[in-house]
Amino acid sequence: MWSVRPKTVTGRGVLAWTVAGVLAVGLAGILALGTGPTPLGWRGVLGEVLGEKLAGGSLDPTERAILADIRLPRVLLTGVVGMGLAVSGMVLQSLLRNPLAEPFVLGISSGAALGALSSMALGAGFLPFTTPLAAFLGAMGTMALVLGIAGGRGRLEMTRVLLTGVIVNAFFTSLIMLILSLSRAEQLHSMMFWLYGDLSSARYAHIGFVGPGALVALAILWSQARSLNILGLGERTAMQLGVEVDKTRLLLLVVTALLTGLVVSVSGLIGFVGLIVPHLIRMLLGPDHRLLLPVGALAGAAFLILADAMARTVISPAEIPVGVVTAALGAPFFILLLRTKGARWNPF
Amino acid sequence: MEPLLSARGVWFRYRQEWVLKDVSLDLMPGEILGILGPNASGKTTLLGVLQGILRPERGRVLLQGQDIQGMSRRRVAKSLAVVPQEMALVQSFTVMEVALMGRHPHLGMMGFEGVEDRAIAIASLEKTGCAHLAERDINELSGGERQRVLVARALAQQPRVFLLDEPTAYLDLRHQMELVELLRRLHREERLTVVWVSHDLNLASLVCHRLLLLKGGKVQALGSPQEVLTEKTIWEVYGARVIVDMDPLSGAPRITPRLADLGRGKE
Repeated sequence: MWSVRPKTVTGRGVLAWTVAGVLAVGLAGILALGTGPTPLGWRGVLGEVLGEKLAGGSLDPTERAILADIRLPRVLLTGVVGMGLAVSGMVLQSLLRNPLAEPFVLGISSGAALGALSSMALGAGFLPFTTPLAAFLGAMGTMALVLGIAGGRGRLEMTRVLLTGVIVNAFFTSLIMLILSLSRAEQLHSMMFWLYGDLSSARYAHIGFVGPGALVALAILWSQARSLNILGLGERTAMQLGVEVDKTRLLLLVVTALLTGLVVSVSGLIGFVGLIVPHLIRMLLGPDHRLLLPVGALAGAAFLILADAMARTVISPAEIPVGVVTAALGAPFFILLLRTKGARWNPF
Repeated sequence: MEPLLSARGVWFRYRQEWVLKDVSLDLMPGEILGILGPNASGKTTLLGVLQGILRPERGRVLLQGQDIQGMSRRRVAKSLAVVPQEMALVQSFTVMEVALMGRHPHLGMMGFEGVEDRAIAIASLEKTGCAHLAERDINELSGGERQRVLVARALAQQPRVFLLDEPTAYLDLRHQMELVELLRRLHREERLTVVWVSHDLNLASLVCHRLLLLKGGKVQALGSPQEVLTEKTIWEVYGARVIVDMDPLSGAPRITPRLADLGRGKE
């Protein structure tokens, strides 16, 4: 069956895969930059990057403005969001040893949603940074709440964390329903869009807000990749092999929560990326997180950039929420994979 | 000679009841110390305390003269490796990848195993007769093969002390014998110092230099197999009637259970 799993993971192997991943993201990006209500074409986009002679095309000033002011920040932000979601999902699946885990499983998403929707309901949604900030604060508050409830007496029991997350999630979801039911019709539309994932208001400022933090988070998570591998062998074995289990788990949980909170605050709740991309990459590359995390990050970026391009074009000039596309594309694709590969595949 | 690992008056409890009561032991370099005892005698707890995973309420555990509670897990794992009863099903790591995990405590925070680490992992697999399995999925191996891989992983840690937690518990007779022979050979060739927790009195009698017998969290007897494994002691500790005679090959004590209804043969 198709699999390119390396026999053992080396630094050189990770570098090669990362370069391939960057190229894939670049391709997806050029494609996405060219598509939209005003098609720019990949030649035109390439012309802006490489020069007109090399690419054989160019853009007029209006098109250039669309590219630089609207499309580019959106594609860049989408890439960062895709990375963050895929990596959070991957780390949480391994940490909780649960194939159903995804970035939203610990209630961080509903905390963010509660923050975002509250700010919209209070009429602050039109201010440039209130909604992302409210969402981020909601996410962080939820993380503190979940870890505080679950982490009694210094120990961090993963089942407790998971259960607490699910309960907190349920509680916040009911509050979200309450807000929705009390909101006026003109607010409802933007709220629904936020809940299904909305990248349409992407600005460079958002990237400045999310990008650096997300990259630092990715680096920290990657630095723990070997410990994450060993944690998969069980808590006791991990201790015996020299992993500080409690400290490592707490670090990983806090950093994934931060990462999720950051990306969700500017994108809303884009489902499925954080569930499907990690599984896909695991099927393809095996269980070593030193390879999985960078490749998963880039795959998440490429996947979401393409999904967003599609969300912008299916009923152009109107948009559908990108979360609709990720699930509509992802679910059948994933089922197909499970059917062809699933019998021998054991993620955990 | 300094003991490599020692317990000094260790008391431990999970809740109210003491599980370990004033346990002391010294593990001397090069010896094989067996820890025996009936169910709920505190064997598993003692093993947890000896590797620094459980913190004793009173008393101390010293690894190479240092208090183990003050050491990082990484530092402990460089000196002390554990071979568990069995390995649960995990992600599909290859045998080589599992052996390389034994190098974890020797590596920096980030990064990859170097040429030397790979050489050590391969050598460990060779010593345990697993080199030909290197590229196989760990989950596809038989129970006996998997135990040998776990021994290889422990070897790759290059520890001074091996803690064996009933490593033969789930193996059939032939694989038990093979694993015991392997561990004895490694003990000789690698000059390993071993703590061997076992349920099997005869096995412990054959391989261990000294035995520590636990009952209700207390050290009931500590000494050579001849001193510890007597009919009287086994009756006192296990409440079981046995016949102790001598193993014709090794001269070690041999224990035969004496079933109440089998007084005069099977009839």
